[in-house]
Amino acid sequence: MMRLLNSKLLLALVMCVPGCSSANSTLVGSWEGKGTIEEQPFQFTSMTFAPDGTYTAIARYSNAERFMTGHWKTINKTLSLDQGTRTYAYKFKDESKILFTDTHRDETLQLNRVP
Amino acid sequence: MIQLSRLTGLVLLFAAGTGCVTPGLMLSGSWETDRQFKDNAADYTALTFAPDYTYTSVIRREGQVQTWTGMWQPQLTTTMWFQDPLSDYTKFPASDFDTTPENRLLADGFLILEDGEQLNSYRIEVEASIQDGAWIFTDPHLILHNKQSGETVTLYRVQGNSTWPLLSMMPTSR
Repeated sequence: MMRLLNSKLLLALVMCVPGCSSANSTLVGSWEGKGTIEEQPFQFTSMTFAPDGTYTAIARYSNAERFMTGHWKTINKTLSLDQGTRTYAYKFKDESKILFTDTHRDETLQLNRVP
Repeated sequence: MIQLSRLTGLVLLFAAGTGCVTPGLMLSGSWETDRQFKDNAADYTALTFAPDYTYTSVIRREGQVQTWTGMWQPQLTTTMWFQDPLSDYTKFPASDFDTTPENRLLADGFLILEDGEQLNSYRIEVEASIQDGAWIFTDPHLILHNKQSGETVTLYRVQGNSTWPLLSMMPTSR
């Protein structure tokens, strides 16, 4: 019995080895927005989230493109960028589509998973 | 004999570690040129690699910004080696080392961004030292060399909230 428990514990430990486990967040990966500036005055054109909590994002406004590299985390279905400097509620439409809602602007953007 | 056992254990741990540390995991995360120049330098590069082989990059060159999101491919195998300043910087495989620690661990490979238009060779360097009997690895940086343009850029790792795979595979004590 003890041997069985030890085996299970060992298996659990092996599955938790850092660097060997799969990405633990469904946001990890890259996302791309579609549409035109005429349709939406602000949009994330694309972003990549790494599992270590870092990201690079490109945002397009009506007359400018901005990029950001920093840190991300999620709390209760809310994406927080750079210690809460920007926050977005998110909801998955399916495995490859996600909706981000800028709670300050009350605007919702849809991004598709890359590829 | 004890020394030999410790060394054998170290090599075995290293070999065990390399089995799961893929180029994808080593590159995964964010890298950028010197952050203090992020907002006002004419040249700035930032990249985030995800382990599913997607990435977003930002390259500002002479004030002009290019952004890209897509797929990347690493070389299937990455050569890792130590650089030994005491022996004229002779390369030798990291798994074969049998002397006192060198000061730098390197990993070389090739990186193909998108459809092969941008073929880069890359090198990851990390400073290695022993402190209080434990391996300490600090300051990982990624050197990208674009074979088409001939340009080389050094990127520093954006500190994340988890241990970098290359570091986590190494033993913490001898």
